[in-house]
Amino acid sequence: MTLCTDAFLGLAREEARTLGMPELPLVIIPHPLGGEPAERVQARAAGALDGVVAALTRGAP
Amino acid sequence: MNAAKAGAASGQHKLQAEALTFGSHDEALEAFHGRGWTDGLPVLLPTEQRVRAMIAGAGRPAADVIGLVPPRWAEATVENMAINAVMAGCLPEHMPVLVGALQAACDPAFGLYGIQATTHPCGILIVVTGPEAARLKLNAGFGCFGPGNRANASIGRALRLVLVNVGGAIPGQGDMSTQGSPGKYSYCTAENEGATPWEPLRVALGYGREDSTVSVFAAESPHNVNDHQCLTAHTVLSSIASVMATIGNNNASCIDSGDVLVVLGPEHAQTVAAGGMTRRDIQRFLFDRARNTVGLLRQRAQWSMARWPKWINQDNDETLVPLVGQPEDIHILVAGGAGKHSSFIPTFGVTKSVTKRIERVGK
Repeated sequence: MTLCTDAFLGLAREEARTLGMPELPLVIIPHPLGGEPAERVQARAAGALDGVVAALTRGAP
Repeated sequence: MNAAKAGAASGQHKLQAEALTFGSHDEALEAFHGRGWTDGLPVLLPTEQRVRAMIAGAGRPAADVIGLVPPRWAEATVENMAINAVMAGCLPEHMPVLVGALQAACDPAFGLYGIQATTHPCGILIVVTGPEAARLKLNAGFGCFGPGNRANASIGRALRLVLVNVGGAIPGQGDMSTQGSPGKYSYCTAENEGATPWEPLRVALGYGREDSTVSVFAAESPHNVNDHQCLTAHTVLSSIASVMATIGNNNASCIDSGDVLVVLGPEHAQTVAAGGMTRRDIQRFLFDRARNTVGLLRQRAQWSMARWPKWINQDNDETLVPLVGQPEDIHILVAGGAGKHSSFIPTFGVTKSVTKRIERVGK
């Protein structure tokens, strides 16, 4: 699976498709990540956790 | 009107592209714009006759694969490059330069995927040196970065159209550049060899004087160095170093994963040469002087992404940090006309420029 921010979702989907992995699970977090204070990054991680677990255990959430 | 994004199947060699038919020239042009096949400016319609002439200019079979172009990882063939070259306004004799430029851009050392998809505003600068530059009437004099010269404008534009139409570098989809760049329309220049006081760039890079070469750089727009005051080599180069040592460019943080380009105007080049400095001396001087402090970089730029050589002491805020890992990664080109202006061209930073010999048709 791959984590990406919503601003890069289009690129991620296209890249997965062209590399022959159209079903690659993508877990999306709100943009931006760079420059965010630690507590917001923690919140992004917490918000993405269920999706990551689901992607790694059952495929795309 | 039988345009081709696309040439039709006729003649002895069948073209791969689909033939498209339109009611009029205007209708075809609007369709090309509407389908996202242009850079926003009008294109010359790629009729079968024009595409076949362009393929002939390449001197290679239409089906030859020149490279895989990310992020779509699609095959750039002589045929689909010829279609884009027609659209850009190229002449058939420009094709060997375009082919060489794409070969260089697809070299793994260049790192085209990152260059295409990054948020950084890098266009791909094409630099041509050698006899072919003069034969093709590339402009290396006044206004060498444009506008006004057909070869410079159309070759640079053709590469961009290949990057978009074959590679999928569509702004906001495959090209994630935050602001884009004027250099993403067309970015092609040539060495002003007659005004170069040292060996030409291609010779410095290990090619023969009789060769012609094409180099690609993942380049920001030129940053100007205006110096009408300094009349010695060291003072002119110090002005250039001050323009180089800005912390907002990628090279400030990327160091040894990148290289940069300094384009000396002929008058500045003459002043530097009159001071007895060789190409190697200039590279060493700029490597030593164009530096930022660790303390400044720590607070700004891309500190969190920095992957530096071990010889840079990151624990001392006063440590002076060069833009590249070694003097040879500061490339020196002489180009332009009269006047006391030079330019510094930072790059994407996670890329090394690549040079290929131009294989002239029938040579």
